[in-house]
Amino acid sequence: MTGISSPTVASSADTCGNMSKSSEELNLRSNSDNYARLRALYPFVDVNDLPLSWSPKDKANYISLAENNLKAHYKGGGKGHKDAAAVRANNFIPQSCLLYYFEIKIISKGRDGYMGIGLAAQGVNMQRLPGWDKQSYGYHGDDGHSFCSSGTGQPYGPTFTTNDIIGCAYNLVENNCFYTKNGLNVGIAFTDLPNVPLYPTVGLQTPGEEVEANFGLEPFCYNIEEEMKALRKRITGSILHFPVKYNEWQTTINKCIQTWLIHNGYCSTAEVFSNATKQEFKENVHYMKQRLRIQKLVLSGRIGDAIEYTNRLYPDVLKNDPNLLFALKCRQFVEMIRSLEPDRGADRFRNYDRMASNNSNIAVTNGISSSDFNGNAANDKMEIDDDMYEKDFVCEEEMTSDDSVTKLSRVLSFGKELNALSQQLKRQYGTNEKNKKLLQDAFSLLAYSDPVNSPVGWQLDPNERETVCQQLNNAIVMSEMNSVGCCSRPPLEIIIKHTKALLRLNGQCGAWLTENL
Amino acid sequence: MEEWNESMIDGFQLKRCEINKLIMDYLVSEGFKEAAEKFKYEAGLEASADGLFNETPSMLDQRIEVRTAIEEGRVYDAISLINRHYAELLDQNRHLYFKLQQQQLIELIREQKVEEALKFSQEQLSVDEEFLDLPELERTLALLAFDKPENSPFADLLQVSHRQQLASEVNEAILKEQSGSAEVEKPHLVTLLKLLLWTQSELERKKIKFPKMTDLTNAVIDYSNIE
Repeated sequence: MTGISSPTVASSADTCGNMSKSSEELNLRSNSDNYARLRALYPFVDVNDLPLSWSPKDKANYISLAENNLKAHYKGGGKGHKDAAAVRANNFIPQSCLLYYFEIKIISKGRDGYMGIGLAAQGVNMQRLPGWDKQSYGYHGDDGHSFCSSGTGQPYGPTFTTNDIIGCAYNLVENNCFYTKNGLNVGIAFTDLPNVPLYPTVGLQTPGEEVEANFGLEPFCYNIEEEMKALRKRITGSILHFPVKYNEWQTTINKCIQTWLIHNGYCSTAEVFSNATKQEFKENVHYMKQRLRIQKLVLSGRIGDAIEYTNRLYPDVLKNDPNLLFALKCRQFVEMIRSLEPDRGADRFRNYDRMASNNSNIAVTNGISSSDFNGNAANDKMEIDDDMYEKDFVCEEEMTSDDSVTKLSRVLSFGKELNALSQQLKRQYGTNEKNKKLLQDAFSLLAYSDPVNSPVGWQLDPNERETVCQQLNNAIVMSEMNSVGCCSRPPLEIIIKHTKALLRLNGQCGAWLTENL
Repeated sequence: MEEWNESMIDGFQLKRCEINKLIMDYLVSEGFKEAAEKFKYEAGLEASADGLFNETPSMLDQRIEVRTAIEEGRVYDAISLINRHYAELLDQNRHLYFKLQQQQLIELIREQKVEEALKFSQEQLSVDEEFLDLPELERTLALLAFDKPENSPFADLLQVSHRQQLASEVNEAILKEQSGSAEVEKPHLVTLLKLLLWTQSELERKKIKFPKMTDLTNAVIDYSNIE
């Protein structure tokens, strides 16, 4: 049962021709809904990482490929086991498929129908049928046996022959594999599959045998979507029922929420929530309110005011973090460009703007607004010293009253200032890629007559303020807590980021539960 | 392995408003009404709280009323509230009904109303045999055998958290009934935290090395095993 030892390379001219043609056609197809099916089935995988055809380079010589490398035909002598020939797909099955499925249509059983369908690791000899060797698994047509890394098969399912469609489903979460025949589930064939990348594979052994693969570019005969849904449901279930000790668990959740609220300066919420959950609340509310106010300035686009207010209350924060100051100034520049074109194109951002500036008004006036969701006046006794600080600052929106030439020249002179600051930072601290990109992106806005719809127009989205707002808040929290030695990021944020990183390690299993995050 | 940490922290852009939505969802679903109101204002959230569960303010109030009653040990009140507002709920969740009755029994024992407790357990708890959780009932009645039940092996029944856990279960059942679907999830925040624990246990099972978060409350990550 040993295979012939000649190297498994295919280099015939027609194969190469096929290859370039096929990649062209595949690219053409990428716009059609053939790919949409794969994307829907494997949302956490880049379609180009999936097996999409047989590999013309990774096959035995006795296999010839046709039709975009989807058809495999046996052209050997077929005298015995040593004439067996197999082919692997162009890509291995990515872990994050969770449940991978492909189908093989038997075009012809040839002379004897010694065909095997299954999975094989890289390095498994291709002069052998799937299942005969280590890390190779196959279901054979002539006897219906399953071969689990062994020359001896086990009785498994029905035999298959010309016109049958055989499907192979590899469950990467539960490490098993089942087959289907003409749309019916044959049952689990293999369990405890190894934790190595596996490729779809077929093997043929007698003249005339020909099979065609469907890697999901065409509709499947078997309803694998249902199977995928069921698997996800099982996983979701085991996640939701992951055992925890109620007591500690509840404390953990409450604490995570409390620290999040405090970190972001949501002080009234933090106070009420702490009371309701009987948690100690000893934060300095005054500082939290100051931070919230600065954040609201940033979020409403009044960056200059935010910088000034920060410098007055926390004189060290921006002094110690020139990169943060630079990021803020870049944002200020972007805001100036936003205000240059108040009437054009920015419609999609308009509503948000109104909301954000409303919010900032709420924050800086004495709770006159009544946007509470019960219609109650928002009288949080919040802004005792607001009048003072509002009078002190010139509202950036005054710019709108200038004529456009004056405004433009102000933007340009601010741009020069910004550029000078960037040079100074570079001299002092060396090149910083992030700063470089910030400045480039911001300046690029000037190059377009319609910046909103330009490739760099995303910067004008008010949601972009969030990034720098978070950075500023983190820096202030850090400066406040420096003496205590506390961490500058709220645990909840670290938890979520850590979860996402671990999900990647675990093949994105359960990632559908993280939704928008 | 510091790089892992660095790339991890910087690799993912996290929008604060998305986390805020998680918090809001939690506050509303767990019935922290006042906190939710403050939060909506302070975090500048657009979505109104009632939009989250298609729940009107009065529905939210009812739900909170039940929860508060259980948390304060007024189980009898809670059961009548449930029957008034959610007539079907206890018929469809007999096990939950048993748990409420068990809690009622616990409250009687706490108040040292021994005779009442015995009478209650004989008359009420044995009616619905199919859903009788005998071991639990025995555990509860065993409290009577101790002079100081709070020092007994069954003291966990007397803890405030026992009430809170039941209140959470009832709350979840109400949310399920209101939405009409059997698949109402827990608040996303809870799901997310469980996802982390589950993923860590899966990675351990698969013997994949990873930095393990050993303490969620303080977000402590142990990097020692990937060096």
